[in-house]
Formats: sequence, structure tokens, C-alpha cells
Amino acid sequence: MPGPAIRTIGLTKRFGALTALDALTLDVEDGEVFGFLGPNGAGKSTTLRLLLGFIRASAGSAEIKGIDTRDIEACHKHLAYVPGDVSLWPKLTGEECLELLGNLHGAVDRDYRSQLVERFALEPEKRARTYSKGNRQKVALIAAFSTRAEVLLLDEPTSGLDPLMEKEFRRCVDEAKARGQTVFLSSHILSEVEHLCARVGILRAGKLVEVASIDQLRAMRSTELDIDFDGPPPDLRAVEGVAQVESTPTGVRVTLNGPPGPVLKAIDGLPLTAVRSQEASLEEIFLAYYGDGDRA
Amino acid sequence: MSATRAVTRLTVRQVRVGAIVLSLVSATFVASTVKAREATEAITPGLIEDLASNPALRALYGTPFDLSTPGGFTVWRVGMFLAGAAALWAMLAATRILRGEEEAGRAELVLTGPVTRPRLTDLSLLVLGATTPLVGVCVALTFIGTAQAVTGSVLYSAGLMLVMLDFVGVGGVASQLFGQRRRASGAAGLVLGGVFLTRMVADGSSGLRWLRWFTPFGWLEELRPFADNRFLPLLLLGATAVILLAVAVALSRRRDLGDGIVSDRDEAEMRPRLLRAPLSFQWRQGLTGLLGWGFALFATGLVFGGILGAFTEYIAKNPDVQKFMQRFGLHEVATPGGFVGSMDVFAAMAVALYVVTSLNRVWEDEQERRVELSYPAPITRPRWLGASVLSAVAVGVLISCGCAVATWLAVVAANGDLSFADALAGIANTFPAIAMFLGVAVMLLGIRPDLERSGGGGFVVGALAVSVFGPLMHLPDWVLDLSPFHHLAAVPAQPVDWGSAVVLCTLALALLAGGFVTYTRRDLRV
Repeated sequence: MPGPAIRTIGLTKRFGALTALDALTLDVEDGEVFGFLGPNGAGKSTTLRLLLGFIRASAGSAEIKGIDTRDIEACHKHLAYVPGDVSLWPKLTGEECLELLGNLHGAVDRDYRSQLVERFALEPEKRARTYSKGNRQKVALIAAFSTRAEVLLLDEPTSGLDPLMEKEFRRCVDEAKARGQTVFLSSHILSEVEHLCARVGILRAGKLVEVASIDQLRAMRSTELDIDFDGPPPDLRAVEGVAQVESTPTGVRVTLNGPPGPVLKAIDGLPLTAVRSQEASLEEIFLAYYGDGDRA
Repeated sequence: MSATRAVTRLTVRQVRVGAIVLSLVSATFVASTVKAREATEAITPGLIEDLASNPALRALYGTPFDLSTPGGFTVWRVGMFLAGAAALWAMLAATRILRGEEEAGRAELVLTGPVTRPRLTDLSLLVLGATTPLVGVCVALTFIGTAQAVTGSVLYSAGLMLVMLDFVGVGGVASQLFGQRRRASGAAGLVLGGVFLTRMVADGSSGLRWLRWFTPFGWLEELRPFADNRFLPLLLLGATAVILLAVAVALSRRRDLGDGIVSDRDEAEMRPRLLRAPLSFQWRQGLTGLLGWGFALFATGLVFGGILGAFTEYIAKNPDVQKFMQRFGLHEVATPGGFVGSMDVFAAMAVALYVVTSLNRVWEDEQERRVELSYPAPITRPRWLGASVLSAVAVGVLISCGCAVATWLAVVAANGDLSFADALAGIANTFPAIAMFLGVAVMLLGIRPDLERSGGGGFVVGALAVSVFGPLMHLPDWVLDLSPFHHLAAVPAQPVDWGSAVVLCTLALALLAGGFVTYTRRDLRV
């Protein structure tokens, strides 16, 4: 029975007076690459730690592959995790760290692991204490991807990786997706999420403010039209679908929150010199969600 | 300039509590020992010679030079232990500040400021050095405040201060030599233990007495406070401190951040053994500890056994000495079986300290967030904690037995009288107390893991101090009862106190169970 890979119901975590995560209810489908976005302190890592059983929920519950996350032994067989800042056993070599982590998890694709060691250009015979942040990150990534766990929980996994390795990481996620693994990618690197994820959830101050596909987000949010006039621009503020009008040196910039038809109709026949449309970048979309001042 | 002040203040904050506690505890010990001695009638000169010729007492407390004044008696009875404890604290504080901060990456943050790394080392050494007069002045004022001769008071306190400074130096040098705090502390600890044991061997033997001139503790003795009041050994103590500190300062200029002068190779062959499961991995992690602590306890056992062999018949002939020792809580030490029993308490303290430090790995893995990689495995927290506990217990039992075997070997080699079974029984008798400390350590991991090392270690050392010095200081019974060591019979001289053993083990089990439950249920601090 294919249920969701990850399901949280009213998942809440309070630290004293602070509510780090407020009633998160979310389904991540099997085989999906799900982006989990939010500014620092929004509760992304808290969510992952709850899913992993590192911390206990104040309220609500969570399941991975239909198994309650409190059942560590059963639940963790299905998952692998990459933290945002990896620390290793300084005296072990990279290879020994991988061996240990593989043994602990139980199921490892050794061939794939050696492949990944090559692809990530890890020097496995070096002791972990000599590794840079990026290299430690690679060890965790290789360990997680080589378990072939059905659910991969990644918490800002590319911090410290160079662009080349970041590309390799994206390849790994694509391969995981092709194998049917579920990837839960917590990140604040929008280009990464845009690249990899079909669907995202946006967290702000512990609350899930949106779950949508990236296309939906784009459609929901504004498009901008720069309209240049030969002469004074008309007043477009009252036109249907217009959110905002700013003047530019050559005309106006109209921010739309609906279809562009009415505006185009309104300017029809006027002395136009140019019309340019640009979709809001993801950046702008998320900035609109994150807002300012109400992070706490 | 303000950066220098900020860095200094930071270091002061990191050592002040320990330094103040150490000062107060030292002052308390001095004051109460002086009081206890004042409360007894005069001691005959013959008795002094008797005590001075008892190798076991000499080994334990040092050679007495003046027991007629309360000051001189106190220097003999608690002076050496205070020096040992102060040296241990100074050494551990030095490695914590000079290596631990760097290993944890905190030094990196400090060094982004205008203070350079060599300068940071200098400042840290300066602050660490500044803690030693604090202890010295407290002790000196206590002696003087209890109306003891000023010269002797100042002399002993200056000696104590310089011994501490010597071990700030030892810790400082070790921190430059080794890249990890554990290794630096281990190496410095071996030096401290070796020097202390050398002093014991020297004082406890007749032919090797000159050996004490090679140890700071021997120099401290040779100050002969309240007796001959010799100042010359202060020069040796001071010169050693100057040399060690200079070496530490010089070495700090010859290394890079995070590195030690003695660096292991950066590459290593794959050793896939003992990487299979939590238990085998804990065992692998504990192997270095097994070697280090095992060696230290074996050496300790040899020294105890050697001293014991040398004085088997001594006490029986001296009823005066027996009476005297009874009064000062020393009578148990004075028979062979009693001596083994008493020495085993010291061995047990070391084993308990091993258990506490070894279990601290659980907290270190959490604090340094290695659990983020290991705990996502399908392994429950009780299994993880259980692996650490089992490994600590196994190593604890092994090093305990090593100590017993060494004691037995040394006694037999000296034609002394101790059966192998008695040697083992003596150490096994301490296991319920060690179990109790284990329970406390595990409980702390469950409720206050950040206090596991300091709280657990403090409990062990405090319990030993209470049970060794409590009777002398006439502490109330309920205080004595707080020490698990106090409930141990002096096996093999006395039969095992099964009642206490059962109570201790039951308490230990309850603490263990509580620790497992709280550790499993609490939030990881990652």
C-alpha cells in the first residue's frame, strides 16, 4: 500500500516559551523530491530532528514509510540523513568512517559507494581530522546515498561544497529519484531547490505557510510588466489584476497578481514604445513569503 | 589592548570556579587537620621516629619531619595529597584551556581578533599561573590564621604553589606536543602519576630515597616546613616551572593551529576491525584508554605491593604507633591486609575516574554532533548507551584486576604475605562503590550530560577525600555516609560487608535504570 513517505500530523516542538515548530501537517509522497524552505531559525532543522527522533515532539506525530518515528529501530531502517555541519571521528580515516556508518546502517551498496568516493574526489585514506568542512560533508553524503535508504533526509547538505561537487550532489539526487527514493531537502539555496524539487514547503517562524509545486508558486505570485510609453503613462492602478504600479524613467512597472489580459486591454491603442514581461524570480517569491520583522 | 583584556577575561572565567573551589577545599583540609591535631595531647619524640621509619606511611604521606606542632603534622598528613590534587587540577586546567579550546574550534573564533595564537598561549599560561598564588595564599592564611609559625606556613604554601605551577607547565607542554586534549591530558597525567609514584617508591624504600630529589613532590617534602624550614628546594621547584613554561611558550611558536608538535600521520591504512556495531566500536574507542589507564594502575599496584612487602612485620611490634594511628584514622593502613584494603580504595578511585571519563565520550559525541551521523542508524539509544556502559565496565574490571595482579606479584617478589585470592578479593570488594559512581555518571548523562565529567569526577574525588580524611576531620556520620568508599570493609583484613554491598549495588542499579530512561527520552543537544 503506497502511502506517503513522510507524514506529519500537527507536529509541534516547543522549547520553553519558544515554539520552534507549530503544528506542522505535511505529506511527502513516495518517490518525491521535496524542498523544505525557510530562513534560518524557521524550524527546518527542528523538523528533521523530530523526524529522526533526536528530539521529542511536544505534540503531534510523524511517520516515515507508515512507521511511527518513535520506533527508532524500524523507522531508521528506511532512512538516511545528512546534517548541515558534519563532524566525524577525528582519528578514523574517511574510509573507516564510511565503513562504520555503513555497518551501523546495515545495508550498503558497496559498489555505488566506491563510485561515489571517486565522483566526489574524496581521499579516503586521510584521517577525518585533516578534512575540511566540504570533505566532511562529502563523507556524510556518500554514506547516506550509498545506503540506498528509501527516504533521504538532507539538511542543507551542500554547505561547504564547491560548485563542482554541488553539481555531483545534484546528480546523486537525480539518481536517487530515478531509483524511486524519496528526498526531503531542507535548504535555503533557492537555485538548488528550483533545480531538484518539484514541490516545496515554505516554513516561516515555525509555521508552514505554503506547500505548492514550483510552477504553482510562480503562477500564484506576481509577474512584472515594464511598459514604456511615448508620453505620459495612463493610470493603471484600478485595472483588474494589478497589484502595484511604480513609475520608471521611461514608463511604468506594473506588478500583476492576476492574468495580464485586462492590463493589455487597457494599454491597447496607447503610444507604446516597449513592453517587457518578466516572471518574478524564485528569490522574490520567497522574499515575499519570508517577509521581514515577523520571524520571531 | 582591549582585545588582550577580553581574551584574559575569557580565560579567567574558564578557570575561576575551579581555582576558588580548590582554594577553599585546601583551606578547609588544612584548618580541620590543624584543629584535629591540636585536640590531642603531645606526641612523644620516639613515636615520631617510629612513624618516620614506617615505610608504608612514608610512602603514603611522605617523610615526617615535624609532628610535634599542628602545622608540621598537617603538612605531613594532608600536605602531599593537597599537592597531588592541586597538581592534577592545574594540569587538567592547562590542557583544557590550551588544547581543548583549540580542538573544539573555539580558539579559532578568538584568534580572528587581533590576538595572535602565541600571544593567546602566553595569556592563557599567565592566567593559569595566576591561579596558583590564589591557592597558595589561601592555604598560607589558613595556617597563619590557626596560629601556626609564619615561616613554615609561607614555606609550605609557596611550595604548594610552585608544584601547581610546575604542572601548569607540564600540561602546557603536553598541550603543545599533542593535537588532542585527551592525548595531552593522558600524557601529562602519566607524568603526574609517574612522578607521584616515584616519590612513593622513594619514600617507601630504604635504598632508593635519593629518587625523591627527582620529583617536585620530593622537593616539596624537602622544604621541611615547621621543622628545618629549608628554602633551597623552592629554587628547584621554581626553576622547573620556569623551564617548563618557557618550553611551552617556545613550542607554541613552532606549530600551527590545531596541530601538535608530535603529529600522527595524516594518512592511515584502513583497519576495518571493530567498526561493526556500537559495542565493538566503543571497545575500539576505549582501547587507548585501556592501555594508558591499565599501565598506570599496574604500576600503582606494583608500588603498593612493593611497599607492603617491605613492612609486613613493622606495626605488630609497635603498640604506641598503633594507638597513635587509631586516633588519626590510620589504623587500617597499618596491617598488610588493611594496607591492601586501603590502597584498593585509591585504585578504585582511579578506576571510577576512568569510568566517568570514558562515559563522557557519550556526551562528547553528542556535543561535537557526531551522533548526527551515528544515531540515524536503526539502533536505539539504550543500545548506544549500553555499549558505552558495557565497554567502560569491561575495561574497568580489566584494569582493576591488573592492579590486583601487580600488587600480588610485587608482594610475592618481596617475600611478603598476600595470597592471590586476597589480592583479587580486595579489589573486587570496591566494585559496588565503582558501580555506584557508574550509576551516577549514567544518570548525569540522562539529566545533565554537561555535568557528567565535572560532577561525576568531583563526586569520585570528593568521596575519596571524605572517606580518607573525614574521620580525621571528625566529620559527622551522615557526611561520611555520603561517600560510597566509606561503606567498604577493608578487605582482605576484614570480611566483605555484604549488607553495604547489596545496598550500593541496588542504588547503582536504580541510578543506571533512571539514567537509561532519561537518556532515551530526553532531547539530544545537537
